[in-house]
Amino acid sequence: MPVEMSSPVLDMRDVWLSLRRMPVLEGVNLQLAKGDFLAIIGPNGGGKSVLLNVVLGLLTPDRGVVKVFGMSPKKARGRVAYVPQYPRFDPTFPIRVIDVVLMGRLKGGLMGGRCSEEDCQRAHAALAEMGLADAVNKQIGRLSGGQLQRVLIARALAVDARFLILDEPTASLDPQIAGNLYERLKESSNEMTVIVVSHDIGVISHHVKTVACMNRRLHYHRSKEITEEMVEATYGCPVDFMVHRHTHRVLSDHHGEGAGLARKSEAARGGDGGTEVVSDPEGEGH
Amino acid sequence: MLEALQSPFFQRALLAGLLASVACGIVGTYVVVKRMASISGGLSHAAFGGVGLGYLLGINPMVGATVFALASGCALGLAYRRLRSGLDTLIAMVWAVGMALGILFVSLTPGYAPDLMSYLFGSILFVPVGYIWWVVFLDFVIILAVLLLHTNLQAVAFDQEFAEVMGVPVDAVLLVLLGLASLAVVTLIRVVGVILVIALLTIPAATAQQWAVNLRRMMVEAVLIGAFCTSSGLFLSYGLSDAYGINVPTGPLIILIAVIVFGASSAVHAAVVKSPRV
Repeated sequence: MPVEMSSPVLDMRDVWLSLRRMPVLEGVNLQLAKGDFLAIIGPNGGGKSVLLNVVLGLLTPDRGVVKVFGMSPKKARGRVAYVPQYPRFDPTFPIRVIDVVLMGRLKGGLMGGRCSEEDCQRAHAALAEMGLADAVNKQIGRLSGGQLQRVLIARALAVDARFLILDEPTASLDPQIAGNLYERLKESSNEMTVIVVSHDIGVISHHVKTVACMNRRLHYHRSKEITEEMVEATYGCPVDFMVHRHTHRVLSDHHGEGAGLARKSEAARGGDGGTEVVSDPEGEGH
Repeated sequence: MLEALQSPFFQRALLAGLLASVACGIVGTYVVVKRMASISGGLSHAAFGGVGLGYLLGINPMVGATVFALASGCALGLAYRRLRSGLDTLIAMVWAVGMALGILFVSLTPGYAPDLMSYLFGSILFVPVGYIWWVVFLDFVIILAVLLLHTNLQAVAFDQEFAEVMGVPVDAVLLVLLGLASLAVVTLIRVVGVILVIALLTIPAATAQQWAVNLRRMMVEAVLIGAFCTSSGLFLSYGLSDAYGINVPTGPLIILIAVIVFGASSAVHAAVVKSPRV
């Protein structure tokens, strides 16, 4: 069956970007079509968030071409939904949960316009989906960190976009809620395109369709398997042992459930936020 | 005390204070939540340069102040997202250059500039009728802008990056916001003076923020708090002069009352938040 590559959702070709004279993206190529569900893993400072910012049009690359729905990222605004890594806003900001989620229904343009009945319904539905139906009228400062994170996810779901970008969306969520979220994304992912950046390989590898490794360069083979070469290129040499013993085998063998899954989670959580563990030679070296 | 209300001076001052509170409560709300207090300080001191130029050219100093405040508002608005770390320094420069220009222009003006102190410290008791109409017009512009643009102003104030991803023209919205701030600052110069504008813009709004659940309520509360502070400052200054013969300018009294209100509100808020019932 021919994949709809004639109109890819995302098309990045040979994208280079330096920030403060430090190279962050080096020759990144990435094509995604409708139905793709990609996880990007990689070390901190490896450029994962920068890559997302380029796709969102918040950063302009030095070189290369980025097309979203065949348009420049700035033209494609409003068609892409986004969950940022951390809540950047001030929790004492006087605003109710529902008004934050309604920002997912912003229309663009200087006037903006008022929200319609449909906008409100979408916002309420997104909140209900994230288990926040009771918190609709609360001021955001009265929520916990995890609830706040869910508000941001609800805001992105309310956009009703066909392209969803999530930057560490589950960092402060319970594993069960995180699992539900990914399950929901997986269900709807035939109709849309999803990129998720995460350290939590254990959870995401279960749900996503493909995995890429990122460390300035993007290593991506349109498959769910993380090859030894990918991990080595991404994390560097001290990784070998880890790759053989846990990550490589477990991630390659995604039909194996049970014990494999448990070990996978253990590997992913074994250190400070999962993947970092593999760059720590002492932890696993004996 | 009530016989003060029969004086046309006092009536005009009271009206000016109440009308200015509307501008300062609404714009101050955005200034506080978007953390632009130092920018508005820069704008008011830049406006002083315009006051000086007005004297030098022999035109209405308020016109000069408005032009200078709007011009520096646009400059800071354009710099806002491009400078990030350097913004603070730029604000300090606009602040100081505005004052320097004002002093230079005034010193170059032949003769004595009798009204200068009223721009530095405010002179609400001697506002001309024309000023009242100016504030009415300004309140109208601010309310209209907020009715039309509140959704975007709120989105940009709350989470600028997400607003941008959703296609909101963030630069244009920031320019509108700084334009409104410039106009509010120029208005408040008459009430409390260049130096104290920043306080009247931020303190009532910061007090309201402790209690408000959304921006609209914060605006209403800030307007009411501002109205209370300006009018009680006026009555206090009248009373001090009437009963004890102490003549103090009204502007500083208004600011001190606002700070006391803020302090009391903070104390009550802390007690309420601590109590287990809420």
